[in-house]
Amino acid sequence: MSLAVAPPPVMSAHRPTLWLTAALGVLCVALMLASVSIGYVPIPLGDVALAAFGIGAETDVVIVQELRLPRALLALMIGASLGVSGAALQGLLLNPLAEPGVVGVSASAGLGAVIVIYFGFADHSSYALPLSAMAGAGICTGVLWLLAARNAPTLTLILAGVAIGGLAVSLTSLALNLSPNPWAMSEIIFWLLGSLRDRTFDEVKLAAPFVLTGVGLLLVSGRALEALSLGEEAARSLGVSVARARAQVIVGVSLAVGASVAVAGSVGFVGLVAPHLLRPLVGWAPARLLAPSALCGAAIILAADVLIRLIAVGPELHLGVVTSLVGAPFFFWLILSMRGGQGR
Amino acid sequence: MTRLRARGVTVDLGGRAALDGFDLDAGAGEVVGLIGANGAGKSTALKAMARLLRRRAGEVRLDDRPIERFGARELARRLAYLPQGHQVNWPMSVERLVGLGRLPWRGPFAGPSAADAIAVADAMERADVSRFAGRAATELSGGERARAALARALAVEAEILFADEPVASLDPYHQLQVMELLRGAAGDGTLVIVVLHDLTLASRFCDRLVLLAEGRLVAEGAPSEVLAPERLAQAYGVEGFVGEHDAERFVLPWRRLARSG
Repeated sequence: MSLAVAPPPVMSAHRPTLWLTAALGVLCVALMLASVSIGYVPIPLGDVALAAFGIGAETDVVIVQELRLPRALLALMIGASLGVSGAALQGLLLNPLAEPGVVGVSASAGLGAVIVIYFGFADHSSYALPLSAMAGAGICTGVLWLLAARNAPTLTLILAGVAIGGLAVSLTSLALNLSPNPWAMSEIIFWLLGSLRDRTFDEVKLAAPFVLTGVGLLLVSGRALEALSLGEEAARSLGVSVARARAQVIVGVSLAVGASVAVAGSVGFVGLVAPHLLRPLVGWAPARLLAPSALCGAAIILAADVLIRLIAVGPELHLGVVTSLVGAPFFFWLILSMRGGQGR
Repeated sequence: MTRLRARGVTVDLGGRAALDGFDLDAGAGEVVGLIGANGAGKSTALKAMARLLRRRAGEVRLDDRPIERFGARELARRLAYLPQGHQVNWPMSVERLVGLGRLPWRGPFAGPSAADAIAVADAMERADVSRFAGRAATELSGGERARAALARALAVEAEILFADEPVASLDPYHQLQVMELLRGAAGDGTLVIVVLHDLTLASRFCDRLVLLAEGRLVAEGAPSEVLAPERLAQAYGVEGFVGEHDAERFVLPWRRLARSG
């Protein structure tokens, strides 16, 4: 072997990824500040910062502490969950179209939650709804995992996810159809549309442990996803436990997306858009995509939620409606631009 | 010194024995060629020895230690495996693709070290892919991608290299180049086990050939012994033309023989 190799080439983009992550982090902080200062009652930024610690006019303190701060924190958690879940699912299933919404995870989590609302279990324990939502997400990802373990082609996985999602939506519709009273029905519908309105610190406390665990599991799956881009056998020959990586991503996505859907309803397409925007910037490396996708997802949800409050027309738009309005055409464009094949 | 021993390795795939009682004993500095017709069990033998397939019977030992006793990363550092097909799923650059070969050497969250960068540059140089280090691996021609995949396996810098049909999609120039490279790696002390269909390359570049037919080892030894006409007829159903050039034997499959039975 010749050691007289000219200067080692830069194993590029390690540093640029750090910069990208830092920039997205700053963007998230800025959007958090915007989120707590923008609303029906305008409060100057300085007062907002004080109010967050309980200093200042009583109304400001109430508005910031009980309304806006939980809302911003939830936007951050949900966006991060969806963004990193999309990136990890795409890495695991080796397909840029995989996303919690597309492969039925969000809809299954929604069904889990709707079952709890429908049968009134939510009154018994505040954990019933999130646990049921996570179970729904877990069943869906588990089925996908079983298919993947039988070496089903990726297209089969995606289509199976679409079918599971379809079933979950139809069962949800059944619940609406059989709904005993209009009040329960409208509760389910509004919840399904996805929103961060009128959320409190109770929801933050409820979702945070599951979101943090789920996002954490996904963030540390990078090495395995990196190796998996060579296919399963090559990944295993590089010392990566593919079985463990699968379990890790499935549990992580179930926890993060299940908890997010439980507190905010279904918010689509963020897991698709965030990784896709960033992939070229990180040299298409699945591991480097994870943290930036979490931050980008958070920035998207925060921005969408700020936008909703800035558009003062009629009733407030639902978050899920806004992300789908932007995300669905993007998804369509992505499919068209992929026709060439190479996963672009 | 590296020593790889397989004894009675048997693997079931889809309910039948894809490999039946496979034996091999090979050491540092050798190039061992696995040859045989399609479905003869060549790839299965390679995967079973690399611990990528479950064995029904038999054992594989590396330096007299059962291969199961090695940790996943420990084995990955000692044995590099180049699968068929050269799958790449994202349009990452060739350099980054080759860099994946360094994963067994990197800590869980560590980036590539200076040693990794040197290993990658060296592997790319040897596999002749440095010229397109920055191009997307998914946009390469079949032959370029095959060499990039080989560079990925070389970057592991393992003492054992398993290569499953590394020259399958290469032009004659690069077929010779890759075989010379494998020979050179053996010269540096690597144990190379390579699956080949090209009998001329097999006879010229391998120290030893192992001929498989229907999952069983039917012949093992020096190329001139294994590639005897009656063996070619038996294992491949072809009549071979044996010639000599530059004092080296070559074998050309010439015509199909009528299958008996």
